[in-house]
Amino acid sequence: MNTHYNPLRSVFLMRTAGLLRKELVQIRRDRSLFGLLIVAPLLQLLVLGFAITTDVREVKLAVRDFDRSMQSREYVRALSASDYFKTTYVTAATVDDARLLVSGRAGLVLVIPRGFAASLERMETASVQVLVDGADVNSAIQGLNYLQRATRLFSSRGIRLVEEDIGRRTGTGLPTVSAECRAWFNPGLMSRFYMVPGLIGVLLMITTMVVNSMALVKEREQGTMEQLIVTPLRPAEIILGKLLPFVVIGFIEVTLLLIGIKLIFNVPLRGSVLTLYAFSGMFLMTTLGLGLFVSTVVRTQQQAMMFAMFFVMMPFMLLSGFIFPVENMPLVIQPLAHMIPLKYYLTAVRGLYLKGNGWFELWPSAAALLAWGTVILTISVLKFRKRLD
Amino acid sequence: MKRFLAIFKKEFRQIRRDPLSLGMLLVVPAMLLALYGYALSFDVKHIRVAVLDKDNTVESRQLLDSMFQNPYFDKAAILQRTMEADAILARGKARAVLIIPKGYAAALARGENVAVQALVNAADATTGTTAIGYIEALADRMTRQIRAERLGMSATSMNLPVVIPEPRIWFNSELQSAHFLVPGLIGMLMMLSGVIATSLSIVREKENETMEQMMVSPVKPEELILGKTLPYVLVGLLTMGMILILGRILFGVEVKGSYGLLALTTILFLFAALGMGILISAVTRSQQMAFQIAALASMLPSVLLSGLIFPINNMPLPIQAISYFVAPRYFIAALRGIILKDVSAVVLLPQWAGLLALGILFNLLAASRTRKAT
Repeated sequence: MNTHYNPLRSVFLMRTAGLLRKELVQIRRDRSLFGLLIVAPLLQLLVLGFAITTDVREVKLAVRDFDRSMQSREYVRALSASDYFKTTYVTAATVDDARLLVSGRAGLVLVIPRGFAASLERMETASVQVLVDGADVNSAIQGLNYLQRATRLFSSRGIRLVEEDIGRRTGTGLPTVSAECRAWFNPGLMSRFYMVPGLIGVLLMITTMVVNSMALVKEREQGTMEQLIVTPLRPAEIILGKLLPFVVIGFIEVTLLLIGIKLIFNVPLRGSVLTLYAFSGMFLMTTLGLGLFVSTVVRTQQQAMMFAMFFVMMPFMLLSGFIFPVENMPLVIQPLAHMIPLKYYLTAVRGLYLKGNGWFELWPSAAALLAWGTVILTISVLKFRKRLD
Repeated sequence: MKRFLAIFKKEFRQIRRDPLSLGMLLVVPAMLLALYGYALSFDVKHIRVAVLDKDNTVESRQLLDSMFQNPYFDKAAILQRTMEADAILARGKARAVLIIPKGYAAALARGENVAVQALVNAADATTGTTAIGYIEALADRMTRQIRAERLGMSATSMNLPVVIPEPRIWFNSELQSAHFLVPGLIGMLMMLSGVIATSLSIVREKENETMEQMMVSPVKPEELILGKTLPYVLVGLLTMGMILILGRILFGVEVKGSYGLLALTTILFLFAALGMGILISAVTRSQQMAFQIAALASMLPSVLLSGLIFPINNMPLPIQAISYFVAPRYFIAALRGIILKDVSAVVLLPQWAGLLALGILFNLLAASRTRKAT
């Protein structure tokens, strides 16, 4: 192939290289923009990576103990055995529960009635009241779940003794079914291991889409588009020149984020780095294509911003499974979520980080990203060409 | 005053001239609220479970029936060999694999302990923890049921020293995620539309070189900023109204507190959010740069650092300190208080103070940057 000199091809390369140089010079000249593109994602990683943990810890549990017995204290101790609840005793008369919940000083209020110990000693059921702040649903559900689990454990000791006693008297063996649960891929159940790699996708999307979505409309607003059009460059070359700098920036960013995740958050990457870069490249095709697409449909840079934020970046963040798992969404919404390229990239990144996936498991995601990228880039180039005429 | 009015009028005329942008600012946030309010929830349901039943007896099938009668579990696949478990979890076709060991029924008959194994994909720790909790509860229920049968009495009438928590849920009796999320989503969407509205306003004049004209006119920076902000306060209040109406129609989220407090909070928030937009506009030189900063400084923090999803008091202290500069943090807390709990003005004071302080800070910085530019 090298033996044949292809003049057309070299002209194409030369022109594209020229344009690439122009774009790089432009980005570099706006030095603060260049710094922003590189530094901001790292800062974001640092701040957001620590912020986004879904582990609900230290739910404030206020206890009103009317019984004041050994059993009641033992029960409270059983609840606060882990670092899950931050227990404080409140004295009955002084504070009313409504105030505690409204002001947010307590997430749960546990009321142990008088006669708690007496009921248990009589082998009867003892109810305790739990007041929950339902305005904070996430903490409420998890706090309540945990309280029920801890209570079950506390009760089961007593139950077992009684049942075994009955069993001995009646002469029947009493079996137990227990569940031995093993947390795969993330034995420490650290939400950070899942959320932090997800940030690569979101940050990459923002840096590559934002500037790009304004790129063409900017040339048009400032009237420099005409100058580009009168050059002998073909539309595909113009677009290539516009996109390539962001491919470079994108890969630099992925590299920095990978290092940051390793050094700051100590999240191990179990799969192959090369596969991760390959997926990043495919994902860049879709974000750059989308940015370009936005740029061709809007008239002003403000419209570009609105369009990109409201219709692309926001829905991508919330519906891609970055925070809320797609399976938990209503069935009507799920097809929409499956159309989001970020979803496939996140599947790949998280698969690589946590599960050590390879191409065998990830090829459906790769196929989806490639198809998406090809379609959106083709549409954008066609639309761009049409607007030139 | 006259000069301020002139700017105010000019901005209004510019807004009117771009009806697409105005329409989007008014309608799109309400539309997105409908979408997200419907799509997002914290409930974990329909966990896909693959089953490997090595025992294959009446007893083991009874356990499986009890599992899949539950709305929390969906049967994803029936496996034949242990090897398949790895693959199905790795490919994400199932979130958990339940393995019933050989001899399950026999052990039960002998009255022994028997452990079923559950491999749970805990990559997503939250969903993983919940799934583990559900499976443990299932085993517990099964134990109760089997023992009750064995002893020949129904589980409910058994006389046992059990502690039963009786939950009483306040403010949101059915624990609907929408009630918690809607006020937060309102805060996020208002932040975005506020920043979109103003973050390009000054830098656009710089790019189009109309800033010089503005600067040689006798307009003071404060007047310029006020004139550019106020029209959008009105737009923001309209947007807020549309969002609240839709939230009520679609999700039954009613405002329990006073509309007066709500309006005051919204105005204070708009003062801060629009001020941040103007500040971004004042410090940048190109609209691209303004957008980049706006996306990073408003979009991500208003979702991730505002308490919308992730509770702020779970975050490390330095991050909590940063969140004090995130205006939606105060707005969302205040909205939840007013809409869900009918809190009094006293409870809202810290939130108002935060919004006011941020508003003053952003607007003053913006004014001083604009002055320097002259």
